Amino acid sequence: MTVFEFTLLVWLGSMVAGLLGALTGLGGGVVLVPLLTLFFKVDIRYAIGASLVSVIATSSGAAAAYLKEGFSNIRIGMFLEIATTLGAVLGAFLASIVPATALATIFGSVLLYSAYLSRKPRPKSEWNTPPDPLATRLRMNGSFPTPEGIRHYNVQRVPAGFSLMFGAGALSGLLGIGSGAVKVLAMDQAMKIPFKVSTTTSNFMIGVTAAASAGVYLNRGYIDPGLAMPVMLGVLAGSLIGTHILIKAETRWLRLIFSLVIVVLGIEMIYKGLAGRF
Amino acid sequence: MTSAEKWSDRKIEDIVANLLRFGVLLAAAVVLCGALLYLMRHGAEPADYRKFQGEPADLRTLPGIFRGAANWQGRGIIQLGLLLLIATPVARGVRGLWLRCRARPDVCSVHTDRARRPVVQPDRQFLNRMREVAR
Repeated sequence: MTVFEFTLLVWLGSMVAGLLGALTGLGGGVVLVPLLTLFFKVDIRYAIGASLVSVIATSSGAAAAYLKEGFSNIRIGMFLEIATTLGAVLGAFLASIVPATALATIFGSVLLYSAYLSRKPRPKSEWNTPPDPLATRLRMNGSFPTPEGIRHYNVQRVPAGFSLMFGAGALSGLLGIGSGAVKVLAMDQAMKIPFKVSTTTSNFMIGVTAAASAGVYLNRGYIDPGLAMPVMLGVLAGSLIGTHILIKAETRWLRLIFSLVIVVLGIEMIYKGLAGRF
Repeated sequence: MTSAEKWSDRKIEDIVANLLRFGVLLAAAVVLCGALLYLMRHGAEPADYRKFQGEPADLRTLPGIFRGAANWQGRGIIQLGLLLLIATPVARGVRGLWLRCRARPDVCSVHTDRARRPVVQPDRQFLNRMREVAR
């Protein structure tokens, strides 16, 4: 196919990726990498480079909107990002030592189990948790707009969240994807943060981690402008649409979409791990 | 939280959000310009990304990219736009941290060292209190 046709199709596919990424707090790489490698027959290295670009585009595009609307909690995001970045550095170092195939399989199974855990919304009895002293000291508790009005929330188990974020960063450094999933899961399940705040804050965080890797990839020649261009523009368009949807959507649907995407990612991870593609 | 603290948090979030928006829009505009040039000149060529060759030096290195963009080469301009995109979250991370330290002197302080590099220092008393609370 011609460059023009290719650009158009990749642009459309990237819009879907951006839409999903903005809704779920994940990076869009889940959709994009298989789409590029399996359907468009793009070499995996170009695909990963383009996927990194898409993560930054989704993250930045969506984060601006979510911040303005008051969903993302910038304090939680910045604090946890310290852990993720440290983890990413460690992950990059470990990449040569740890057998990534085993890790991918384990990670995939964990994801499948977590998809099972997150699909059900939290019972309303758990909505008003008591304030945690460390979280309050760090001023992490916040509020976000719901159709019923502003809802306050308290953050729990900060150290657990911090360690999980470290793991998320390491995984992302080792495997190249998946940090968004762990971030949302850690915030949602461990720290008891409302789902919309978890996904929007994750969106806010993943951009920085991806930017660091993307800089390296660009320098190594893995990012091709002809490929990255429709990806970036498509993902931006998709994520902007996604942000409008998230604000009005019911959380229960968002949880369902998130769980479905996680299941796909989990299966993909297990397959790649067993097939030795890592 | 006093209303003064609430105001500065919200203000910081607004500044960071605007920075993000501006950075992304600028990057997108540049990429779009490059895209139009690239498609006009190469749109009818066959597209093949199956083999990995690695990008040539003037699409990989900073001086190469600037040179390509200055010569109105579509791909060079696209790479420039991508650079701007990559720089945006880094800039907002740094700026957010900076603003926060300025707003909370009891938590951390920022100053520049002799080489004019920014240095962020956490406040020792604050660190001790955090350790106590976390126990």
